[in-house]
Amino acid sequence: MISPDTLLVQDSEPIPATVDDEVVMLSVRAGAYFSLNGVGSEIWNLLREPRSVGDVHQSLASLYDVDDQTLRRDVDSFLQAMLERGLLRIVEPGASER
Amino acid sequence: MTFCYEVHGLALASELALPELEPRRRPAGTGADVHIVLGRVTESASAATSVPYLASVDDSVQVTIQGIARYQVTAGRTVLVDPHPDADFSHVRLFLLGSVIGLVCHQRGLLPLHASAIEFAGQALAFIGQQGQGKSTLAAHCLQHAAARLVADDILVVSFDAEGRPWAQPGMPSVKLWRDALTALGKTVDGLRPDWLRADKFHLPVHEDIAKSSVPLRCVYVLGDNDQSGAASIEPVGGAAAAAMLIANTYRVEYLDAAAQRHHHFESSTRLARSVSVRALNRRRDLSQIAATVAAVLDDARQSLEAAH
Repeated sequence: MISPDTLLVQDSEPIPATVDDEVVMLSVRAGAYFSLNGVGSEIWNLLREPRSVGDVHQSLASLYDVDDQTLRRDVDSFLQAMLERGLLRIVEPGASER
Repeated sequence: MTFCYEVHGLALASELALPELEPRRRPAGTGADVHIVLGRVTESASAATSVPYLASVDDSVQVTIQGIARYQVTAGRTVLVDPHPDADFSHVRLFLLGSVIGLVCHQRGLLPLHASAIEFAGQALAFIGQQGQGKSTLAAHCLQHAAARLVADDILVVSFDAEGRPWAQPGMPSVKLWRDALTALGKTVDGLRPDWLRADKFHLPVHEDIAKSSVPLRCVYVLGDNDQSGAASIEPVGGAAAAAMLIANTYRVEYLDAAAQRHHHFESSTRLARSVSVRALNRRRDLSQIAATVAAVLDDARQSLEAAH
């Protein structure tokens, strides 16, 4: 499970492409294609660099008019789904990014 | 004896006569892109793929169609055909000009779509959608319009020029239609070649009405149903959904791994999604509505062409 302190980053395996500001991905490892809607694409782009889940909440709260609880619930379930499919990965605290 | 043909933008030199195709129009002396030769294909024991009837051997892929033929396709350049002794040659050609040419296109890094397409006002309009959605029927009815010509039916090959613009390549000069769709066109089935798998589907030849060279691809219509009465609705499909539809409607998309082109295909289909207008066309599918659907599509195409100028 993720918490607001969990650090996340894009996994390097999937190949992303952007079409009209939306992200579509090929993951050979997952044996599937994934397409993200506008908000999903926004989150994906935020995670080009490692960021905490709480940071992602804050960034989106400044962009969308939605109550805090709904935002956290929706964003967390999206992040969890992305993790389970290997599109994002958790950065262990203290681990070097290289 | 070698026969020369042109289809999907490829010059074929074939030891097998292929009466389904147009004779080659390019000047003689220029080399062929694909050589089709008859010979023995020894069954490969190695390298099964995710598709049960495909096997990879080095840079070749073997396609085995039980009771018909074994084909070996190498580097998108050579097709070795080994017909089964009891096979009807029209069936050998059917798989050669279908699945096997699809594999050739994938190996060459072309983008074959499962689509029908017409040329209208100097641009190609493609129709994609699930099996039975009426791609061929819509294309055939568009041809009734004086300004439209066929580009391709069933397999539409897209290539990109140096500037990254997409071009639709002329395919086989016939349209596969059900009997009722032919009747609605005022045609009869007399003398038409029945489709192999579906006894009530026929190949309508369109030799005079086919595009003679590649056509810029501008719009891709995704065919869907509209249960309500009333006119067809046409809405743009943007971004990731457009890309996903082009990927899903790639001809023989399951061959990509055997052809070692999964990444390249992803690149070209997302590039195509960026460079064409993908539009959802929802309409009533019954043939009584087809004239109205054709009018709506051609009108929409005309407007989006004007908007682009």
